[in-house]
Amino acid sequence: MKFGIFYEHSVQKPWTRQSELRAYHQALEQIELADELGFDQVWEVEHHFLEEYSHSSAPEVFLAAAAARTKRIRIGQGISVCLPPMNHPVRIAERAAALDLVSNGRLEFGTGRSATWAEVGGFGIDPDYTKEMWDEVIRAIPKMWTEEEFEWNGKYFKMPPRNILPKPIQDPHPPMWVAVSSPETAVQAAERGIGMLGVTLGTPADYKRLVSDYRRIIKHCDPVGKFVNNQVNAASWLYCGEDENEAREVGGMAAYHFFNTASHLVGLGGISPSHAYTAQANATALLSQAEIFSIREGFPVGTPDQIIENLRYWDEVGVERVCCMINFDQVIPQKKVLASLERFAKYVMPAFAEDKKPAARSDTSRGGPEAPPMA
Amino acid sequence: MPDPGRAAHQTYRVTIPKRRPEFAPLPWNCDSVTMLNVYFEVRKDVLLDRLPPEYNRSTPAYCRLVITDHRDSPIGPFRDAYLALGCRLTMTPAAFVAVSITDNQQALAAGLVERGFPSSLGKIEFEAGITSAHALIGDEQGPLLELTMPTLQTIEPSRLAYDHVDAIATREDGATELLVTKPDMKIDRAAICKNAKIEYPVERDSTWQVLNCRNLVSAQVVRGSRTFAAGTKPS
Repeated sequence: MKFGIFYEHSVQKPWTRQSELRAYHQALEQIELADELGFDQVWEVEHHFLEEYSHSSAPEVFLAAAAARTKRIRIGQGISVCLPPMNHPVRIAERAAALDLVSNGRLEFGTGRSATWAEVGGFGIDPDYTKEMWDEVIRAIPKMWTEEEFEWNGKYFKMPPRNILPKPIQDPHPPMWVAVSSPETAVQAAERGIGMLGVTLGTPADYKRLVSDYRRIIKHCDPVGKFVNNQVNAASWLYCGEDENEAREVGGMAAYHFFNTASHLVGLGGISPSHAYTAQANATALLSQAEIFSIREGFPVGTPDQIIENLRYWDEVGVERVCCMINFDQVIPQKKVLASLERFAKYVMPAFAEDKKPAARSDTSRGGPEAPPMA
Repeated sequence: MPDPGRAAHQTYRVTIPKRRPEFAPLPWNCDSVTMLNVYFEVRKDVLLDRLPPEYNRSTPAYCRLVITDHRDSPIGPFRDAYLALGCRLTMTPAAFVAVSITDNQQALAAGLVERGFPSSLGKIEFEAGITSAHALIGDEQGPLLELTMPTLQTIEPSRLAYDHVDAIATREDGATELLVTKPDMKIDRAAICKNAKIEYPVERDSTWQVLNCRNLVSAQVVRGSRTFAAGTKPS
């Protein structure tokens, strides 16, 4: 099992001129340490207009800074929003390729389409078409990366022949992923031969069906890229504490702040009924699941021994990577965040050392061509 | 932390008749109901000025406009409308009624005494066919708001779900209390409208207009039955 960290760049009110600066630079310091400690990946979201929850609208810029400070950790765009009215597909391909070059071939390319009204409505996009847009864009981008003369005549964007530059250093191109928060998208990821990047801070039980469907279907995929990325990455919340009480108090408090802020976002299913989104903001449904606003079963929050036990559940459901949020703005003091990472690396990672063989980046027996060499 | 509301409960205090007005006992089971439901974005400061402090605003700030035509009910045909502030209460989605109206005295009486809304008397013009819908809300001073839904597309009713609605009621002793009205619409048929428009025919300084539409999110027409029930204290 591999471990990573991911960032939303949450910035709590009251804001000062320093608030965002602090969030960005603390994150960079954490990533530098995570790289030294042996964490495998760092992911950064792309969100727009989501006050407090996420001030991360230019992940490529942030990740370029992270790449410059690190040597080994994989650099994940988690995700790049693949909606032409928000990001022209050529700009997505160009920026990702540049990031792959800057990071010496460490890019993991996540894709997605947004799930909030603030973002989709902010760019004047009809929610009904976001899935189709995403599907078109993810088929075009590998071609942009690998063809010298790319042209496109699609439903959502068109362009005459051009050589999209630069090309990524990873051969044939960086691994592709899609953000998955619903059973439908897990299936779509598998059908397209791209990695399942879980973005719901869920439990192993939540992921069980998604992973099972994904594993079954990807065996017969029709890959959109030049190879199959059949990995599963789950998202969770990490705090490795000094003792159980401290871990639950500190980690729990930060998780609470995160969920509290997240709950104030307007999901597309809530006020904009669309066949492309399931209803997510239904109070009646949420009221029956109070647990989702607290530390949940399987969250790696606790002492090292407790975390090892929890991570075994993830292993059992077939998740090979767990990526964790490690703070919410400054709710946890930076010193404690760094100490938590150090404890995790010292006491938890060795328990999974036997899993530290190179990940199955692709699988020729599952419908795709031969794997590229690890960067 | 997300922004809390800043309206005192007393802002929503209304004058209750000294003698309890008469109305048929609730709940009223109403068949043949048509409801127009619209979500639209509003300015956050304007919303916060009308939101009680136990609620927080969402991102983005939005309102829910609901206009309902009851063709058949225990008090005969009546219409009501309300404008609710989209918000969160202890992290769950909520809608708080900022202003409301009805064209029926008994509905007004029941609203004032047992629900907190509808809380004023006015006029509601209402038309809803298979292909389009239109409503005009006004009071004795004139029109307040006009909703036009020129093109309707039928959708599967299960795609829609409406949550509870909260309102502040004024008790007989003049004190205010928060009441929750449970989801009340059983949807048999539904349609969406992608080109709905809200207009304000005459400029006025009413809540209906101050919370004006900055960006329309979605609009639906639903048909079915509604239970017009008393509000209950939040659990």
